[in-house]
Amino acid sequence: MNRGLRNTLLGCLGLFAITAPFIWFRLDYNTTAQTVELIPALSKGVKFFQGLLPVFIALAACFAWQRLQKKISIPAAAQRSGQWLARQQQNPLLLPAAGLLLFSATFWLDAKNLNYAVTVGIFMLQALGLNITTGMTGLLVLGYAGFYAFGGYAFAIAQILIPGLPWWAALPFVFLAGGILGWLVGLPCLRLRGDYLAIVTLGFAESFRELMRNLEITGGDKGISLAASSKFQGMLGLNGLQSSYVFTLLAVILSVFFIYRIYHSAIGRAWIAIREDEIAASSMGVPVVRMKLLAFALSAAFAALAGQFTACHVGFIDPASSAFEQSVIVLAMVILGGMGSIPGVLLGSTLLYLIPTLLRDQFPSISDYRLLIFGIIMVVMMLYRPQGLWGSKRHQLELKAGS
Amino acid sequence: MVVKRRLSLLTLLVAASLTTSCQKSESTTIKIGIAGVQTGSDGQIGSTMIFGSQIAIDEWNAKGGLLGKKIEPVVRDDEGKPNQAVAVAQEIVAKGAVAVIGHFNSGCTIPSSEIYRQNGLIQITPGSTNPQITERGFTNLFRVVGRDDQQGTVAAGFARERLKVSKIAILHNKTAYGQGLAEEVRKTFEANGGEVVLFSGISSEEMDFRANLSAIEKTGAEAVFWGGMYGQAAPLLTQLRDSGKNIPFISGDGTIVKEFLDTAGPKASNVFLTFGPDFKKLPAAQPFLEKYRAAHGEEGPYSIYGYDAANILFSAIEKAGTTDAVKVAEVLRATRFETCLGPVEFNDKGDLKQTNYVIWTVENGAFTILP
Amino acid sequence: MIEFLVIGLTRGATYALVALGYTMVYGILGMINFAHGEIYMIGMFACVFAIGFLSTLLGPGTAALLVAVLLAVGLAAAYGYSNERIAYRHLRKAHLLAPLTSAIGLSIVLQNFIMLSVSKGKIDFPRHYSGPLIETTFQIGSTTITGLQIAILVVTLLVMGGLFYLIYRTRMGIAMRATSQDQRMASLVGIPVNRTIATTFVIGSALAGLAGVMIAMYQGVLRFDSGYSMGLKAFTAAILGGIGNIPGAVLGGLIIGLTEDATSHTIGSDWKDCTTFIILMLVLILRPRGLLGERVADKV
Repeated sequence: MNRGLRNTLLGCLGLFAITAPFIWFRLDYNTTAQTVELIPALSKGVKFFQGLLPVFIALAACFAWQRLQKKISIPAAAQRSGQWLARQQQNPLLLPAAGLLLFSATFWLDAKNLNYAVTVGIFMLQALGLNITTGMTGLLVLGYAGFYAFGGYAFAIAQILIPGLPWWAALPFVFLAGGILGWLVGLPCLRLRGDYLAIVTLGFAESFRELMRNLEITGGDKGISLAASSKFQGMLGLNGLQSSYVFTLLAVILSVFFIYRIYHSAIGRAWIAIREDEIAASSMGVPVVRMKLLAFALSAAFAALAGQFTACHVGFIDPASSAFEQSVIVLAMVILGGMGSIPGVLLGSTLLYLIPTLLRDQFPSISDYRLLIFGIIMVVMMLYRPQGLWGSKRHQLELKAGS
Repeated sequence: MVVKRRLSLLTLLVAASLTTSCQKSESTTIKIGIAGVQTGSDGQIGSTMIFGSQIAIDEWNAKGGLLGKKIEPVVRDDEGKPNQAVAVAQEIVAKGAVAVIGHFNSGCTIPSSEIYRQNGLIQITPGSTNPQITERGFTNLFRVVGRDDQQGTVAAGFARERLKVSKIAILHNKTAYGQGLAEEVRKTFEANGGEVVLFSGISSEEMDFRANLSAIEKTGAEAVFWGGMYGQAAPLLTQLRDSGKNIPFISGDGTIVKEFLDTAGPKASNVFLTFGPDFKKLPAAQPFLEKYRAAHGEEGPYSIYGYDAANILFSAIEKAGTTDAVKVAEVLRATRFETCLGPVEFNDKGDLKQTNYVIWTVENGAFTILP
Repeated sequence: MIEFLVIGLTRGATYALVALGYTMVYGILGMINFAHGEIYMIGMFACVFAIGFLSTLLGPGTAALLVAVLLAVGLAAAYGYSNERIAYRHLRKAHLLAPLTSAIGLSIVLQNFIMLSVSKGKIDFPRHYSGPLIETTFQIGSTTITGLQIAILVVTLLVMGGLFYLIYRTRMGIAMRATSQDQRMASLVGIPVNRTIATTFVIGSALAGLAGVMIAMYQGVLRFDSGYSMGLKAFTAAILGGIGNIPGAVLGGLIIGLTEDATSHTIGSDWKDCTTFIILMLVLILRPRGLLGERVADKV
């Protein structure tokens, strides 16, 4: 057999060997003698892989799709409908029709799905924000959840100090405050290189979390529960959940529009230039410092916005919101969707939230495996498809190894 | 164009959720939510509680169900984390539950109770002891355990009067339960003329307490109180004993779990815990204990509370003839329930009218009531 | 005072061991191995599993403990090697974000792997084996020092001495230093670059695994998320001492250990972790080259 195959097999064998003790055995404690014994437990190992079943199915599906794509010829009818669909993209009625469909969903989606939709919307806001620094400007921010939690806490504390504060009154201030915080955090990071920058942002998020855990006004580990009047209120005949959905949808649409316009302007081009080669960009007259700070500020502002939306929707915020785990989830969404690409991150957030949630009824333990799968996605995507599922064309060339 | 593609994508996703929302909800069962910490460092105490509730559900279903319909449990794990508890609460509400038994950790019950109240569910917690839970005027919230102000008073009084401790060091795990209990102990201890020489919080993931212990040593404390759960109590106690100090180790109901004994082993000496009365000897509890042991092995401290909470809830619903939260709450307040642990009556706040916290200790590797 | 020193130095020694791994990998690849903290955690768990395995074979005794430590260190090294082969080797020439993201993903995978296959809560270190070490105590003045604390300090010293010997007196050490200076040139003069890099990972991971074993005995309990906070603290230590600088990593580790201890005694243990993160940010912002490091060159 050829060398490549042999190496892969050896690799798999090696992986199996080092993971075997943990998967296929369990520990049996003898409490009187205070010793422990290793006992083979095949059922535990089987259960472990059962949880990973969806991953295997997905991998198999991708594999099969790649092989079959070349062999199967698409029937004529399907080809025609595919062309019809492609032509519709130019149809001027598309936007209003889609908009109507999305907004009307307020009425024909039930409570459970409305809740999902709002959560996806909030993740989209976060992913859009992270995309600005990590995707477009090439600054890996690991402490994104710190800005997110800042937004939530800022609003929660504000509504404690000003009882009855409605959410829309605080919105612009939270957005602005998030922006200022991002700008401040970006200042010392200006001359730091990639990995240092990532760690400093992580340090910021962790310090923020510890601060929230230790101060009295933030409620420590217990968090803050918001007063009912500060959450999303029902209005015009809609109940609270439905108005949550409407406002989140509005926020996402406006954010996409806003970011799209910036991306296709001189600012966006400056960001991309910084990402590709900072020194070249600066020597071409790009105001690197200002652009980097703007990226930080906008990114943090959107995070704070998402944080306030969460506080208003769920009615609760605690230090766990700024945990590293939260940053990782959003980062995985951006990576899977495609760094730097707006439709990509929207796709990424939708997939990475909806798929585990919808699968939860079929595979009850999948919520346990969620993070494991996200980690695998991150590694696999970097190795095989760093531009993501719906990546921007500009990014494709530089991310692949060896360019 | 990018913008159009994005919108068509969103449309796709909405269509996808349409398909999942096409399931009609069944009205042939009554859904009861059961929420608690099943995994993680508090897993043992929470999952044994949930098993207790499930046994009650099985019994009622065998007798014909509730109001003529089968009881369908919606069991969810909140991992002991407040934000997870909130998500669990939303899920239980979305699934159409009419009442919920849970949560276990006070830090989880407090935020989730807001959601249950706003959605009109009756909530009975079998294990949350933080006083704030019933001080907020929620008419739909009840508990079948005591409160930390009662527990803390008993612990502090015991330390002062019986152990004659005048200087105590208090550590807590910064959660609603741990910190709340620690504050109560501090209040009572100082009110009784004692001196709290150290009051410090430790993060709930911390496993190395030597720095705190050496600080305690400097203060000359005569006893240590731990406000928190068994997962940290065990290494804290072990490291305390390792450093040569045999001073009394006092803690609350979060520590009285078998795992604590397993980890601490022979180091569990001079240990005093506050908890409810011993149910193992009560004749009314025996049938439940037999059933539980046959199905799940050794029972946990809150298994019987989980069982009682479920029974009380179902009896009240049956008596009220409806699942409407307001009517069931009225019944709960007006009725005297006979449970395995004795008669139970609720006061206006939703607390038990009568609670009894007693001091337990560890003898021969098992928990026993201190005579 | 002595007790304060002992506690701080013991933890500091373990931070130093893990920091050495960070510094070695950074020196040779210019990359921060985000998954290094998880190797430490795997070392902890591997030790308990190895003890379990050996106690059935060799019976519960000191022999089982010693062999278990070796096995645990070996397994940690094996994980380090697989990390390098799977996630980092192919991404060496890619854009900076790629290996970093891959490392983060790997760290998540390892953490959750242990969480799912072993336990979501804590597991205990069998007291029978660490007991004798902890219970032997020595008195210096009014302070009690346990045998385990002495063992940790002594082992760390020996291991570091061995590492210095390796780096500065052996051929492999020359290869490592050459590769860290200029990878292409090193391969041109015949140094097996891939193998050298792999060896660096293996040695660094072995050190982290050893640190894990010692802390497992010291604390008595293990959690799957211990790697995360140890990773950040050891990374702070490496940066503080000067990343890429081996004596710097040791110095940084000891300083962080002592500072943590000092914080616990003065401000309170609530702020212990916060202080370390603040040190991290201050060092990175004000003096990125650390105490002993050279000027950090900007790689474009």
